[in-house]
Amino acid sequence: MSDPQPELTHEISDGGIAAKHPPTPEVAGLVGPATGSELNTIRAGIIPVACWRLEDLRFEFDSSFVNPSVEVELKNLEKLVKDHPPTSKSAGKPGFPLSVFGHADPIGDDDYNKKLSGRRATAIYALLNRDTDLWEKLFSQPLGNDRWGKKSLLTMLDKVSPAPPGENNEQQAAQHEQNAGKRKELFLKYMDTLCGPELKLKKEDFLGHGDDANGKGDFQGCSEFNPVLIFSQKDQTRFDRDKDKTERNAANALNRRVVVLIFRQGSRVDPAKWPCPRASEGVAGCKKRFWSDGEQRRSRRLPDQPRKFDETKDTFACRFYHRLLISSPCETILPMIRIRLFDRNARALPAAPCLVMQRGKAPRPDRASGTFQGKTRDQKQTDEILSREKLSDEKQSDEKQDAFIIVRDLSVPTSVTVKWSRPKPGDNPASPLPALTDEFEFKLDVVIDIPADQSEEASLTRLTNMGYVRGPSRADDIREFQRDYKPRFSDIEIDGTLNAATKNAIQKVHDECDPVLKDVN
Amino acid sequence: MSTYHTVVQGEHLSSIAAKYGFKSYKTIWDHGQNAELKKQRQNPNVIFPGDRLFIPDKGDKEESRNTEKRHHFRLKREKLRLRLVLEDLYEKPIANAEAILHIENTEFKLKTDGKGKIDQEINATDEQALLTIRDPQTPINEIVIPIKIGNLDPVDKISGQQARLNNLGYFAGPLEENNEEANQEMFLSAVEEFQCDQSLTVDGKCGPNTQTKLKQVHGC
Repeated sequence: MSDPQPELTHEISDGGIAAKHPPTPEVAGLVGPATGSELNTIRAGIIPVACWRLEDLRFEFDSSFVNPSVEVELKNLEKLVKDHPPTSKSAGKPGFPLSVFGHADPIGDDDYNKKLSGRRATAIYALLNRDTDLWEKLFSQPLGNDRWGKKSLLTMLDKVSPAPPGENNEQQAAQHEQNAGKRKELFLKYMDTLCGPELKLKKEDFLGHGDDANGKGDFQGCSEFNPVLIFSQKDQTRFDRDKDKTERNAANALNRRVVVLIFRQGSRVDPAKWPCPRASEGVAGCKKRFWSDGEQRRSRRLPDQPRKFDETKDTFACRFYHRLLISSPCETILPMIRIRLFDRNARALPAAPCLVMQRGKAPRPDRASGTFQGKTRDQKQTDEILSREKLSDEKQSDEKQDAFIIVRDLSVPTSVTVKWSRPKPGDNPASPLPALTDEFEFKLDVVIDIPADQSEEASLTRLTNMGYVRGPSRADDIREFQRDYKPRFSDIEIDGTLNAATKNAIQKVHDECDPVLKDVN
Repeated sequence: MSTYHTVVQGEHLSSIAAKYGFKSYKTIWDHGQNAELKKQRQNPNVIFPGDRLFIPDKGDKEESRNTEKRHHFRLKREKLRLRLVLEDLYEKPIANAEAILHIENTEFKLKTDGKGKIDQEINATDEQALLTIRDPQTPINEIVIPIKIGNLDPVDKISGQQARLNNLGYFAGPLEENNEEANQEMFLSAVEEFQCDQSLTVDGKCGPNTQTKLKQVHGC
């Protein structure tokens, strides 16, 4: 009988995962004795012992600017680093060095994605090191959509020095936009706030020891070369056809990640020999390290199924990265559910304060994505107004990626209880989280993993998720849905039964998170 | 009585010679009946399970000398050695470091030289060993490495390629028990990494060029 595996700890959060790698299989050195001049070379290998993955959702859309919510994942990184102390915390002895790998999705060309993924890796490396000069570079040299701009300054200010109620940080942000010195101070404060005092690294804590001025060995971008998920041909065709790329971008989010690896204590690379090119360089160095069938690996599509790294272990083009991550818990795809929050009139609620309760976990306060710019009213006022005015006059949110919360680490099927309230004007991702003891306006038990069919059970579950639970009977709930949606789906009969048209409508509205209601006349 | 001996894993010419009571492996290795095997294997220390060796008669050895003179006969004992070169990432020698070598029941406290080499005389029948390096500047500091002397297969065998790649820090498997596919892939990626680092054609096939290079870089 072999010895039991040591306890592997995984910390899974909505924005990432922190984990230890399983130990490499023990292999004896098989050697030949010498009767002449023979010898046997025994060389140490590059072996990661732990990993930390940060999801796309912690960055601004298509940007290298990191959102305040990354605090959660940084806490987990802090624990991991504590278990594997870096050089700067090891009193002169070599520690466990880190290296940062940024990844992009396959949209856009290889070179653009190399730069973009490099910028995200740079941002994280700099964050951990408090390198405000690198952040200033990212800020003042935008690339494509990665433009930090005043919006990022506002987010940072709202986090480190929130404005008193009734005021805002707009003026401050404008000042910081003009003043590089002030910006530098703000960057540092923001970094310190997000990381906390314990998670503070130095150049020598990374795999290249900061020996290379541009971070070779310490941080790098892998462009789009190592996807964890490759769409099926069917999905790709659908995405290509759709003018609205929201769904495609959401599905690709898993590929847009940053992975930090922690290596064996005492490991140190010679930047000149490290195979990965610098974050700022092009793709030639990467392509040299491709598998002989690398192009196939990263781009081949199956007709109906997606290809996933954690199922087939063959989606990475870069052989070097593949070998480092082959047994890593960090490149698995964990079920991730996006729940969109609406009020009773099916208007999306960006930045809605909420409380998420999963079985077996502590209740978690959160805020839905996006910023709420609308007017504040209570539900009664809204009802009255709506009965008089057209809905289209109320612009609450037209951002398709707003008002979402993400729930992970589920053993699906399961249900999650969400409590939420409408946001106040100006609420945004940096606004304070609600307290566990707050009163919330709405509450719903959301069932997750509804079978993708239209069985009666599945349809009723979807109805429940959409809030059609007020009864007195299910037939009444169905009738209410039918009344609400007949203007949009004209073939619905309002008869309180789950006829085919109704079931289709229920599935479409639920699965697309887009319950646009008719205008009230 | 002469006989044939079929090699099993862990054996090499010196251990076989000792087994049959020969003082020198050369008596067997240089015998005409073994010429073909000798040509094929070349290194008497790296032979393969299944190889058939002709073991000649341990007859009296004849030496002619002039009776009027005094002669010295010295019994030449073949010395067998274990020679290891320890390196960090990217061929950096682990130089002048403490090394503890446990061979069967004996412990040797050694020091690697400027090139990371240790060179220890061993008995012909020694097989199991443990190596521990003390050098905090390397990732193998204080790690106990099991060593199996005489278990290295020839480089034209996959097991021999795998063993050398593993020794050189390119983990080549096996990765998982009962997962042939994963193990194959692990081996393939190790071959390609080696080929890439050595500027050979990267095709994942450990052909003659790759084998020659592998033998050269590994040392045997």
